[in-house]
Amino acid sequence: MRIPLQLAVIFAICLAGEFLHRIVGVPLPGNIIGMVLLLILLCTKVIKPEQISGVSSFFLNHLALFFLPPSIAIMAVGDDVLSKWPLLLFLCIAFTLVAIAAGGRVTQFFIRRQEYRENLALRAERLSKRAECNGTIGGEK
Amino acid sequence: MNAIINSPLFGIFLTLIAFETGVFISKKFKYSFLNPLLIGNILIVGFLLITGVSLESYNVGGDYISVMLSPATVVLAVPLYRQIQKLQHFWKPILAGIFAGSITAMTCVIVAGKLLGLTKVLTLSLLPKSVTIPMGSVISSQIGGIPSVTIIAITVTGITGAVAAPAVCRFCHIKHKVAQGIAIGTASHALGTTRAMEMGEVQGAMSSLAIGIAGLFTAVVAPVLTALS
Repeated sequence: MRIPLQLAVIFAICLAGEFLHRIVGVPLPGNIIGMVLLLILLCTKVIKPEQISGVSSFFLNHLALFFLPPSIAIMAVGDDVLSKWPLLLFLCIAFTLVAIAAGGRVTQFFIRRQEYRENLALRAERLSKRAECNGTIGGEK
Repeated sequence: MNAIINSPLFGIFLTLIAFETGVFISKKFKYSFLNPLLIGNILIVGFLLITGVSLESYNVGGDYISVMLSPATVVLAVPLYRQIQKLQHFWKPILAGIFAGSITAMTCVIVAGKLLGLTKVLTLSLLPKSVTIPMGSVISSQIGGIPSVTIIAITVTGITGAVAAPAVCRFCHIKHKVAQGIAIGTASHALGTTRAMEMGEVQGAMSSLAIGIAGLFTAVVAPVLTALS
């Protein structure tokens, strides 16, 4: 697909997401619905990743750029919030670190447990197969 | 001069130059706190403060770039699709991890709000700070917070995640690529995801997966926690 057509496809998905949010009333932001819609289109092979790779890699490679203008809103807060900014800044930073640690440790703990169980199951399977083989050999004797 | 400043091109140009300067500086010095977004933010805020150009004038152009947040969120489905095999295999640990990360972030805010005597409005504004900006601002107004404060808290949270995520992973021995991505996306949304993508495609995909699911969890749990607190 040519780049303008790729953009049109992505924007159509954005608009469909906004439609489902604002008109139909799905209680999720339009762009998140859009992400789910694109995922469905990819999974059902209606769209192949290569067909939109020009636009998708542009957005993904420069993702941070699109957050720069909203982040400038930091200039516009009131004095009551502004007077507490060192505390709020500290809380945001500290809790982010805690949340990363918690999310990561919990995920890793359950992944390790699952992998351990899968290894055990695999080993048990191999052992039982070996026992079966030995059994048949023994039986032939 | 006002005609130039109030042209959309001015805000767009300022954003592009500030961002590229940020990218240049962060590539040149390679310290993880020298995030392109952080540098770009300081450059633009500094420029506006020094020259006295208003935020409204900047936003005339800045809004054009903000609009692109929507398609940028939508194409996060592409890396997610590529990693869908890993998602299917580890779906239980992934959901458990995202839930743990989201709950931890919100519980910390509520407990700190009580201990430090923050006003309820401020506490509620910080509550959805780990969620992506479009979702977090909606949740904030829904539970009675100030959306603009939430947006700023989300940005600080995102920058923290983008800057500190690899260090936290190292310090806490979070070595599994899936766990790293889930942790970053859950705690620091799409901004942290920019860093996760630099760490690797698995981390990037898991991180972008976590953004949406963490947003859903937060949207459901935040009103409940608000009622309890």
